[in-house]
Amino acid sequence: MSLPAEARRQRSDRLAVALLTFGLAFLLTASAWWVSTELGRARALRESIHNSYQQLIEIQKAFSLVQDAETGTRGYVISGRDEFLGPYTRAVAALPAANARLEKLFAGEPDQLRLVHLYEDLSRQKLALLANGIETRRIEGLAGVERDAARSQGTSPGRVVMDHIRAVVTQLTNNEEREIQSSLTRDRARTTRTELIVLTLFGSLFLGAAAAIVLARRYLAARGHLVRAAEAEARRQRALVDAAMDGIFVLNSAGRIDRANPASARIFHSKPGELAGARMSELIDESALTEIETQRKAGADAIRLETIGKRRDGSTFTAELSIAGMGEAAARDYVVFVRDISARRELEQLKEEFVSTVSHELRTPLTSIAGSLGLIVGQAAGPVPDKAMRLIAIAQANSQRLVRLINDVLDVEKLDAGKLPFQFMPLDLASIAQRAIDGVQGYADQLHVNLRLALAEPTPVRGDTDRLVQVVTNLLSNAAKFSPEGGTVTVLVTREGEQAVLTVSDKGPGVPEAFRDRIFSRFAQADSSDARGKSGTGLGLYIAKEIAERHGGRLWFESPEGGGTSFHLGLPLQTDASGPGLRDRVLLVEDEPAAAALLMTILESDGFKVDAAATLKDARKAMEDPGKFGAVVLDLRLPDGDGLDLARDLRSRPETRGIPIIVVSADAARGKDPAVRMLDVADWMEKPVDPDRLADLVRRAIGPVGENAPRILHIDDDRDIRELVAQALASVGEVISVEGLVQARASLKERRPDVVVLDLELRDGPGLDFLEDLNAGPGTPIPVVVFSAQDTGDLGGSVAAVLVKSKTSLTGLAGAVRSLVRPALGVKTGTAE
Amino acid sequence: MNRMLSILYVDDEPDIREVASIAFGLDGGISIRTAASGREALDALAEPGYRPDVIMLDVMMPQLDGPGTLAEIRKRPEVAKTPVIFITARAQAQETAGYLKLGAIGVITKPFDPMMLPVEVRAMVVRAGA
Repeated sequence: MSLPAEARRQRSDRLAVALLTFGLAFLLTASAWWVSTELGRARALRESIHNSYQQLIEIQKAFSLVQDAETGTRGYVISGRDEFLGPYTRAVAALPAANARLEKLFAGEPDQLRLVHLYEDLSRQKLALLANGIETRRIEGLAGVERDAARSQGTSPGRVVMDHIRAVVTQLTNNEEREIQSSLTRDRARTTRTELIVLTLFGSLFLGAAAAIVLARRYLAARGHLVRAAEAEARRQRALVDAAMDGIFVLNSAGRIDRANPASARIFHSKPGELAGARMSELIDESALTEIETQRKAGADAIRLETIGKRRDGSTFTAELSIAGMGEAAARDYVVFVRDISARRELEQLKEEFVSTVSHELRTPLTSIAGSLGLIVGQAAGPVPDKAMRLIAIAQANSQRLVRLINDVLDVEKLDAGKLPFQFMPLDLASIAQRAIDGVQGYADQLHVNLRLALAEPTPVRGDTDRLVQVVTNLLSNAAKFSPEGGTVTVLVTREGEQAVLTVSDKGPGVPEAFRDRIFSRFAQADSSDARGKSGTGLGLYIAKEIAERHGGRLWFESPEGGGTSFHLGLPLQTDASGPGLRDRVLLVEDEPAAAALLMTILESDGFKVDAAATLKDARKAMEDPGKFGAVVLDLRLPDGDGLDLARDLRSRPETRGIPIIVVSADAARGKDPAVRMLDVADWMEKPVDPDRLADLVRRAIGPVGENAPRILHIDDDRDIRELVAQALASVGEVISVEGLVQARASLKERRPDVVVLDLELRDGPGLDFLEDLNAGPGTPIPVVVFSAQDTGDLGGSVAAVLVKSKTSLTGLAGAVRSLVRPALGVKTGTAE
Repeated sequence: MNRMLSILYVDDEPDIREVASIAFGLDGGISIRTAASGREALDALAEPGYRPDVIMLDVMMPQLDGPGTLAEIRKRPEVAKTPVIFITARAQAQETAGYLKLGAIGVITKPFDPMMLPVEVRAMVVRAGA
């Protein structure tokens, strides 16, 4: 039977039972009420009949008195003997009482009562007449009586009255008998009706009972069916659980194992049935229990985790647990799935080692091949004939392609294992676009394709610079590869709602219809005849999409009919405090609670957000997300080491090299140490701290944010140096990096920088030529820092400092630039010059 | 003028040693000496009067590997402070970070661009402020 039909039938059965119950109950109640009413009526009828008979008897009694009196009196008149007067005397005595009884009996019947009254009058008259007759006989003897009789001529008043009385009595009797007759008729009709109804009732009850029996049988049959189905299902489940490769057991609310399947016993090396009653803590690592408890309290329905499993023989294994709650929250049982994933882990480890080893073994010979080719192409071994050069260029291009392939395979391997590390920090998508364009420029030039950054809106995002450059580089090189010779690849960086979107468009042939579904899969490559023979690894877009998704973003494309393709990289816009230009969060490293509280109050009341760390360890942990903080306020004496170690750490990492550090210490002498001065400490404050000065220092160290950030124009023809300097100066202000005098002049025209960092040897002319451009402009001279390989000595004028690349560290450069954009800080103790 | 740099280049692969030698030779300001193993490098450093400005160590070498050689160098006060650059074919980000933590001033991944090699090494030296 199909389930819906079964459900429908059950529903109709339930309805029938309900109707039946209600109907029977109603019938029974109504019948009971009706029968009781009927019985009441029958009783009333019987009473009324009884009453009528009573009346008849009384009438007859009363009439008999009169008749007896007349008969007695007649005897006396004839014989003259006194003993015949007994009935008369009794009648006279009894008559009032008899009459009273009659009146009482007929009180409810006005018509009959009238006749009773008539009868009473007549009986009284009769007795009076009898009294006259007796009197006449006693005084005058029989002659008097005969005279009276003769006088009445046969119509003696006694007879007339007697006839009258008889008529009245007959009338009364007839009335009563009629009454009795009609009552009896009514009673019979009623009885018949009652019989009929009682019969109907019994019939209904019988039918109801029959229906109930049918329904009950059907219900029992259905229930039996369900029970059998449930039993079968339970057997199936049991078989499933018993046959499962995973260990499955039920953990009761007391935390003990109720039932365990054979696989559990196998996994934990125990005998079957031995696990029942065991505690979870005997089977898995304690740390996992804490984790489970935490997740359970957080309201997780299903918990998955990896931990160490403990076998009964004391050995351990890597266990994957999946735990799900069953039943109500109050007394909850848990079903636990355990899988021994040691083998899988080992295999993964082996695969990883294999891939790593192979890539190393491949790279070593490639280094020699590519290196030798590179040297020949670079004419390190003397001039090469053109024909040979073309062949060597092919060999070099392909050895590079092999390197890319190895790198991509490694990336895919790491991505799939979730082990590709990402260093997220606030950055601008437009600057990523620029860096990728710079990187692909050479390749595009070879293909005679132009790259153009057509629009770059400010787009703060969080991301890993290198990985995002990798994504955009891939999109750009694809676009260049598929562009016609002389074509242009356009890059747009825009804000769309909550998203920063980077679009790379080409005027190539578009993505073939058949390839669209596979474009982001591994080793997916379109027909390479369109790619002008420059095929790639087929992994680039797969990697790009994975990287985009790890950033919480996405990668998609449009390829309209008629050619041209646009790839879009969308990343969530970062608008909160951790975004670039809004770094008003300060890391406070101070171990004394009182001092920490004081410094925190000072900083917070000045509008800074403060994260506190009491130890070096905590501080290092906080700085794992270096983009989060605008400055570090550092106490030197910490429980687990010297605060300056942290400063040294920060200065050695490229992403934290430029972060302002303000030292708060009782030990002012250390600030004079040249080694410490190298650390570019923004300021050195002695304890006790002057609140106003601290807030002022932090504000100035972080600098004006957003629109008001100082602009630093850096001119250098070495791309690596440009990148390094941009990173080092990121916390000082907005860095505009250009490679030559032409671009520097264009930038100057567009907007005036606050400081210029200048290399002296540029491809398109001596850097010092730019000083004239700067001096030609209106307003106060723009301070210049010369950062060059040459040591030119003092240049005077607007050149504030001459730093030699091999002698000055980047932190030194950052210090110098910072002192120029915020002169007030430049004279403070400890600021590196 | 670029300052003169003296480099000790240590790699067990003779081909790569030769490529590197030619590459550094292109920069007129660099003098290069090669060693085929960590042991040979330590012997060279033991010579009186030989004090290179930079030591470049291949990470994967038989017997004494790059990090092992660095540890030995650190034990000798006369050369302990010499900046070290690792060369590796295992170009994974965590590994690179790990080598930097050992105290190297930079990591060069194989295969390298021989024409850029002198420039990169000089940039690392500049960055380290050495």
